[in-house]
Amino acid sequence: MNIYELTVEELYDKIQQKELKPSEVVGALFEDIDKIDETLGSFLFINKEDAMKEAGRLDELQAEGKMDGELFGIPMGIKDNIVTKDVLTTCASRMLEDFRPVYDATVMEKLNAESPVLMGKNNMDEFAMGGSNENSYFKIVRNPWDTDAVPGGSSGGSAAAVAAGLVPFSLGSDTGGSVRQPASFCGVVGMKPTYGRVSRYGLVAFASSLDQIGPITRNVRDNAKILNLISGSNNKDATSMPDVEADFLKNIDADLTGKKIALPDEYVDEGVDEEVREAVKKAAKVFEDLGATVERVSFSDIKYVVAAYYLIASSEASSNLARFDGIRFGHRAEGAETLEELYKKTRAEGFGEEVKRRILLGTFVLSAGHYDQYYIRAQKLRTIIEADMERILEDYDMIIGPTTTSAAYDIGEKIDDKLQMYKDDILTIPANLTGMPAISIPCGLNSKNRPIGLQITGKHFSEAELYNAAFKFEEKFNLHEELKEIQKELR
Amino acid sequence: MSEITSDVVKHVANLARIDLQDEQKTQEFTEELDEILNYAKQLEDVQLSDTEPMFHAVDLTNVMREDEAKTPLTQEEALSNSKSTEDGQFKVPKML
Repeated sequence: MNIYELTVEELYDKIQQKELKPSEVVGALFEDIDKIDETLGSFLFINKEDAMKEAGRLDELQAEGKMDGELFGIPMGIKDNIVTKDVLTTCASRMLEDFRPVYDATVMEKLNAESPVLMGKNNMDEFAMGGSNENSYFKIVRNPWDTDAVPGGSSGGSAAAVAAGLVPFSLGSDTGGSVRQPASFCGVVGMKPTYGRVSRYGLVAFASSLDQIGPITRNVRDNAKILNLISGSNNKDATSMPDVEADFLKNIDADLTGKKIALPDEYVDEGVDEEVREAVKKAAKVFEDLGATVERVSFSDIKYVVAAYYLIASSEASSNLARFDGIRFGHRAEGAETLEELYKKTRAEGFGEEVKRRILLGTFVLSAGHYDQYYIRAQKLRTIIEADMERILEDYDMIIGPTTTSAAYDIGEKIDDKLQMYKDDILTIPANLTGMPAISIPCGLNSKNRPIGLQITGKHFSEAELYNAAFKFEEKFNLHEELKEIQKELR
Repeated sequence: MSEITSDVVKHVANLARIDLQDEQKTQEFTEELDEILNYAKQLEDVQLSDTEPMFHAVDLTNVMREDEAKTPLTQEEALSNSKSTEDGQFKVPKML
């Protein structure tokens, strides 16, 4: 038995049945991290000492038969923009290079109540801005399927670590696709929940009206299990929705007969790589074989979402990142003689280029004379996109399409064309602008043996239905065996 | 063309309190922002005069909680990540 292949549910069972000790699991995965993460770069901080200590404590509880907690002894990675008490949280930025939070994010409190073991913090694009993980201040991340390829971003470290079998699950955050796109590139499962489903308290804010935390796992059931544990209203986040408790595993195996699925023409037109299009069309057939109907619809306004998204997200970022001033936490420039000079030097030194670019864009968009022309227009476009998607979802239970316009590309391939990288987010952005839930699951491999992701989007708070569809699909098609081969080769 | 010039970028950088450090960097940001804002001009093609802006994805207003006293962070914790403190306070350079 290879410990790295085991899913959250399998590890849980083996620990509960005392076939494995928490320290054996954690120790084996740290050995793997030591061996292969120098190549992959999926962790920024490895929490070895504390994790081994915690695993030892759980071993004793296991021996006494006191194995409480849905994640008892299960290792986890956490994206480095989710604050972890006393554990470095850098957002992959020089600005927070030595930042040790004095409190836990709500998702961490919820997970920790189930007795998991924190293995470390996952690499990411700086402040979650990017789609290739090439914007990390510390190091790039490589795709476990092909180390010449990007893992996607911004939760690239989380997706790569899960795909490589270094942790069975990680949490990411998704503002314009940052959970789903890396999940797609790395051949794993990533969910962007409904806005308000998961508390954002303790998620370092990028664009507050779009950000959501979501799980990245190797299969659909594990993903549903983790979302069960982290969702729920929270009085520390006024945008978390009250009274939306749900069990995402309960009906995960339900029959799909009679389900109506929409496939927008624009999701499989010439803007999408041909191999991706073909994989999605095959996926549509799988759903038909499962008893659902799949029909083509039109979603023509999707061409505007990238522009609207970058105006809105950058505006919110420029405001949110104003807190990094060198005074209360984070980097502080040396030698500044006035307060204003301190701000300017600190921010010049602490932020990377992509972060500066977006702060400048957002500041411009919000500045006098441009607010109506750009910002308000973008927010109006958001209304139109939501109306469009709601119109489709009145007639259909869910919308399917590719997660990304292409499979993973090579490291360095797109780094000089910022606008093209922004445009690549076109398929994931609608769920953020509208707040709707969307999941990415593997649906194929391209000719370079790089994974292709299928995205399923649904109405607000329809995650249970999305997991149901994803699970039934996964029974017919998955990359589990291929992924095990990849994991074996890496070792 | 958008109205982005290097002077506009310098003005915006000042508003955002970011020292642009050199002319070449300023020029690069100018070109990139110009490209992005030109791309965003396509939003002008959409008829939006009768559309309300959507600032948020969920309709929640005035979320209230009980007004209960709770223990906040200690002063020591609150100051623990600062690079410069004195007598239990954040220390900054002169403001004027």
